[in-house]
Amino acid sequence: MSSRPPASIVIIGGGQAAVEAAVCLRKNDFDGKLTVVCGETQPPYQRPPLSKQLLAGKTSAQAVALRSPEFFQSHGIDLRMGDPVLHIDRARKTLHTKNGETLPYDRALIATGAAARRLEMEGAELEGVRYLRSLDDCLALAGELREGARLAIIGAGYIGMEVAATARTLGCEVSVLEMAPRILSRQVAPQIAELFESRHRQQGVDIRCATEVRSLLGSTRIEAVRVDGDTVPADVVVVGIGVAPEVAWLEGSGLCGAAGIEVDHRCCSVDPDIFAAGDVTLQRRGNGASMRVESVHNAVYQGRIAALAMLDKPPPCEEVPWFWSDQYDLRLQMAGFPAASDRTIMRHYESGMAVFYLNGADRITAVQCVGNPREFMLSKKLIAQCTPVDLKSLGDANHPLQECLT
Amino acid sequence: MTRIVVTDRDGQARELDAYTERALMETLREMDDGVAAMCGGMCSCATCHVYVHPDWLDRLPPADLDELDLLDGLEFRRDNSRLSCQIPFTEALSGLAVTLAPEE
Repeated sequence: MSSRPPASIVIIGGGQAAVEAAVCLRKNDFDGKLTVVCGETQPPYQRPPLSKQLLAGKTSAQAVALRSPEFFQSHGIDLRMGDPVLHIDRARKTLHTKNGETLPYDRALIATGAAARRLEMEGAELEGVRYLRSLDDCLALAGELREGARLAIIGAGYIGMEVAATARTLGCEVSVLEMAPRILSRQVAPQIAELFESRHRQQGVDIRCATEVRSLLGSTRIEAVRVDGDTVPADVVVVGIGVAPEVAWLEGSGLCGAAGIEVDHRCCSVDPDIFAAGDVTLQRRGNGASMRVESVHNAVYQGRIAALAMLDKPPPCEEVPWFWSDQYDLRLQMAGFPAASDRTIMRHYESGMAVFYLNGADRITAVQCVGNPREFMLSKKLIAQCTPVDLKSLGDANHPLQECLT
Repeated sequence: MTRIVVTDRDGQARELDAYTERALMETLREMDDGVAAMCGGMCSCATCHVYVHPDWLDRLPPADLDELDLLDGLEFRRDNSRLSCQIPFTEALSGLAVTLAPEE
């Protein structure tokens, strides 16, 4: 660790983690040179509305900006959009961009995020086969979701299911094609997935699980998706099969493998002057596993952790990770990390349900909750405090959650 | 730009210029130690919680069910709680006084 504060910090990437770190650096009296360099051309924006309100046309591209242009200016943040970093020279401590710029750094933060995994099969390059990761992706897709358009979604994760809900409200005909036996299979408990699946079916979404996509058909533009034993006609396809960390530019740097940048609890990489935050990182979690966490909360929290660590300041208070997804009028809120050995207990509400994950000591480690924000907020606190609970009363929603503590 | 009075979490009141024709949250997010506004104004996270000065409450558009739902989950909710992302800020609201609620 250096004893003097760094004179210059460069942040690579322009998403939620990058902006949060820049804001946090300035808040914590960093008065050196601060540069944010990013391959995207759109000034920093938030991603959650891209599959929901912005896609539905209920908000504008301007409204999803993370900060106003004035803010970056007045905080002395040199924002360089549209110029991706292609190479890092750790020996000379310089970054080299596509436009030929050389940016020296004392400390660097990598927050390049992740990119949508591409579909690799016959027809994947046809027009109308779309992904949803960037603001431009969203605006382009929004232009195609006209009333009556037939949309086939490949992958029933959050992106797939949120787009399905939005597209139905826009009057599209929607099919969801998923390889796994159920929707949201990697994300939520089966009971929660079932609740969402039945709501989607009620809304007229054609959900086909345990279905493998064979090829995409069309001459220049997509016309149909061929699955096992059937053909699904489609005017538009959205591929939502997960993301991969943006680390190709780091090849040979010794900072990471293809799975992401391994960081310690301070978000520091193997190089003491290089930090990383957000979707691009691999970090050891409460349950012991080293993993990537794709969420706004993680990006914001790691952005703060990294900023403070780059200034050699103590870390922020520990926070329970959380996440949300809105589909139709269903609001899913989740917190904590379930471990492989955790037992689950359900609570049923008039308006939804919650699944609690418990460890061997009867403490809540994670919760997935639909339609009860009050109990969700309380369970988040119980996770943070590691309070033991009475399993019998936890399983009965007539007992208020506060009364389930032992 | 139109003025608002914001009391921060340390109890310090200050006057600042607010963006008009945007959500109040967008101004509060740009203060030092302002609101987190994690979901970006989509009424999903309740991290832009404020207390509205009672004189102003009735002059704001009422909270919809989504907003009330989220407010319901907050430990620090009071009668004058609002999510600042759900308050469109216009010149007519010049002088509005709000207090930032504690972080949950």
